[in-house]
Amino acid sequence: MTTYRIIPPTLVAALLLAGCSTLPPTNAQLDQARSDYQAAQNDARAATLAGGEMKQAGEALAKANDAWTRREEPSEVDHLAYLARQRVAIARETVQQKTADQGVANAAASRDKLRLALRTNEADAAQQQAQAAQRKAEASQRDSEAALRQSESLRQAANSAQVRNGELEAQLADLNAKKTDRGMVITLGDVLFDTNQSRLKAGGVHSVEKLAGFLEQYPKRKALIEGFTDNVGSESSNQALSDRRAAAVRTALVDHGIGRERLATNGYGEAYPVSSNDSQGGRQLNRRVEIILSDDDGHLIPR
Amino acid sequence: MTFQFNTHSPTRPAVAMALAGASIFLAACASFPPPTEQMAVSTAAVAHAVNAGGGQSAPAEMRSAQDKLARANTAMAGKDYNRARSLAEEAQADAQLAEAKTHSMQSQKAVEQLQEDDRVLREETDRKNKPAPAPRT
Repeated sequence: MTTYRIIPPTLVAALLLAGCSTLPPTNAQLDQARSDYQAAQNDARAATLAGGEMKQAGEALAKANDAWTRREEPSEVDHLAYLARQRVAIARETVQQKTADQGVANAAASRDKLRLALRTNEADAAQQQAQAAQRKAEASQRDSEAALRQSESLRQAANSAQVRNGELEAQLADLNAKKTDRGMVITLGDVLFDTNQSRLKAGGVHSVEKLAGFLEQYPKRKALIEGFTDNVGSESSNQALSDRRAAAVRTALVDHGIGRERLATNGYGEAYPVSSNDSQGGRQLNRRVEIILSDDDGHLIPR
Repeated sequence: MTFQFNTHSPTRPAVAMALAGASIFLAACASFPPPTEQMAVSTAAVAHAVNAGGGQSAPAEMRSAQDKLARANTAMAGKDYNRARSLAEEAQADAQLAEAKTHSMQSQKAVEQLQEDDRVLREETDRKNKPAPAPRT
């Protein structure tokens, strides 16, 4: 009996000692939770980015460890280890989220920088374009100023040409020039010649002087001098008279310094009457010398 | 090794007391208080995760959370409060993980989109920086 009484306390003590020195049977969920937590802690970002979540995970794991150490039901240890694993997973997701958020912030900053660079480039390009446009505008202004000067000089030239034309018209009017299909025609009437003679009277000389002055002023113009008579007398004498009178006018012009090559003569006798030969007045009109003036280029239209 | 207690031994009252204590303890264990608060917290966590889009981003965790919450409710109805608490706690953890995954994926997508934007913008910048062909005059 004594032995029986002694043994149970010894046995209890032995069991207690065994309980302290040996670990409870391993729990797979708990092992996994521990290694998950260890892995999460190895990530340097975890402490800074998910400090709160890591603390919760650590506490959950400690609870699971405690339950295991106290040899609580394996199902309870499993449960607590599962909670710890989920806490670790949450911490890991939080780290990823915060990392991505930092990436968002960085990307936004980098995008702002890029946009700024882009705008700067655009602004530079716009400025260059503006400068180019200004240079172009200045060039075109120079062009238009040149055009203006040119048109001014053209206008002046036109003005002087107009003045010259005015003078020309005045002089031609002075010579009683008439505008015809063949050009300007100056008629020296019979009264300017001695009767049946080819010698010019004083009035005729005066008209020839004015004509010579005109031809001198317009050296490119030529003159065709044509002589005509009425039908009185023989045809041959009339032809000869018209020749002589035309020649007389030419001679007078040559005497005033007009080149002979600019002056052509032609006698037509009784041909081309300008009036009726039936009256004395008409016959007088038919006795004449006509001087046809060329244009500025020396063109004459022959009869 | 076998032994047996002497029924006449003086240790009998102590054993009886220990047995009584153990039975009281076991009774206490068997009758946990209903985890009303935990049930409310878990229900809210699951709803929150669903609203955050957990169903799309973390379907496995979300399904697990909803399943455990449903089982916790069943356990509550059956007055199995210890089981109800345990399931509710896991449902809460699953829901919170689903939500964390959802936020994480959203942030990932955002950063990828921004990086893509950056790349496009950079290309544009590079293209614009190339010397333009001389304008015809």
